[in-house]
Amino acid sequence: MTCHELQHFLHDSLPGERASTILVEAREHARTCPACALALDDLLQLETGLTGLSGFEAEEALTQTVLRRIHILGAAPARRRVNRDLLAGALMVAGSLILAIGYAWDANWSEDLARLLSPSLGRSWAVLTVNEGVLQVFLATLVGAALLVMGFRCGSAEASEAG
Amino acid sequence: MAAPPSIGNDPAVVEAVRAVLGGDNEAFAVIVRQYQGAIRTVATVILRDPQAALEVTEEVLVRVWQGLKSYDSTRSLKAWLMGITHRVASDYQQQRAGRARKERGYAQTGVRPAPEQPLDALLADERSRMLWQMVDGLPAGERVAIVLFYREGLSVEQVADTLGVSPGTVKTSLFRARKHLHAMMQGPERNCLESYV
Repeated sequence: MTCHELQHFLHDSLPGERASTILVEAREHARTCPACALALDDLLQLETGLTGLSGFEAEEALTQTVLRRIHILGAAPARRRVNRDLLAGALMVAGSLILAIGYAWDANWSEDLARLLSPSLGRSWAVLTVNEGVLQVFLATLVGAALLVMGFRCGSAEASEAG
Repeated sequence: MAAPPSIGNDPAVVEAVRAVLGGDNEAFAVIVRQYQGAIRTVATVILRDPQAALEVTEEVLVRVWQGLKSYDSTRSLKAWLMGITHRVASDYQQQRAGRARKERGYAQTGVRPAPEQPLDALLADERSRMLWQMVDGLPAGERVAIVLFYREGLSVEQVADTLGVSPGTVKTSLFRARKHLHAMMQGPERNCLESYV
């Protein structure tokens, strides 16, 4: 190995990539060249120092803090699941009720109710409620179906989270 | 020859990962005890603020527990943890920089951002003191790369994954850092370093 090759070895190689044979060659060359010997020693000394740098030791207080946090976090999803169950159930019940009421709605009943609330509103309402409450059925279908879908999605999300 | 230590997963840690995934949260203590030192050291190197590094370490460990299902057990757990540490610490640093900018805007109120501290907390070991001080003087990218590669024993590829850069960039950082450290060794620190080994 020449001085140039050793310099190349020093600058362009990392631990784990160096073949042991090349290191032996570098050491052999260093025996005959004080400048290269110094450079090689410097590199190896630096790398040994970096590998053995001090660091933080484990602290039991930190371990306990982390464990406390994960216990709290571990309990939280169970509560969320219960809440989601309730919400999904409520949404589906509400959707079903609106659908049922909407389809059972009688056109005259809605007209009477509208007249009771406001005579002028009742006239407009009466126009809208012709053809046996088409509007009510349409709105009930829209709102009821939306609530059912929301309830179903809420329940599905809960199931996949639990899984 | 100084070579990075093996990065194979400790069997006790592998067992702990299995137990945690099976629902035994107490087993997570094994992982916390094993890696909190490395996480805190790397967080300190990134943030240069021991108190912030402690907060980040706690957050990293909680996120590790939350994300353990996504850990690929064929890969090094330590490298995975270092990746999370780098992300959380970098986010923290960005938030801190944002707060500092805001506080500068309210300079009239007398509110000041916490000053950056050097790596004093890592200097408990007298023999490491000079070397840590030299590492502390490196640019941020080189500082983190050299600690991950040499002290934490990650491979070039793992350091690249951790930092989100190419292996070539990591090698360049390592060579530059080594060159800088070598130049510093030629200074007054030389005698101290020679007594290191």
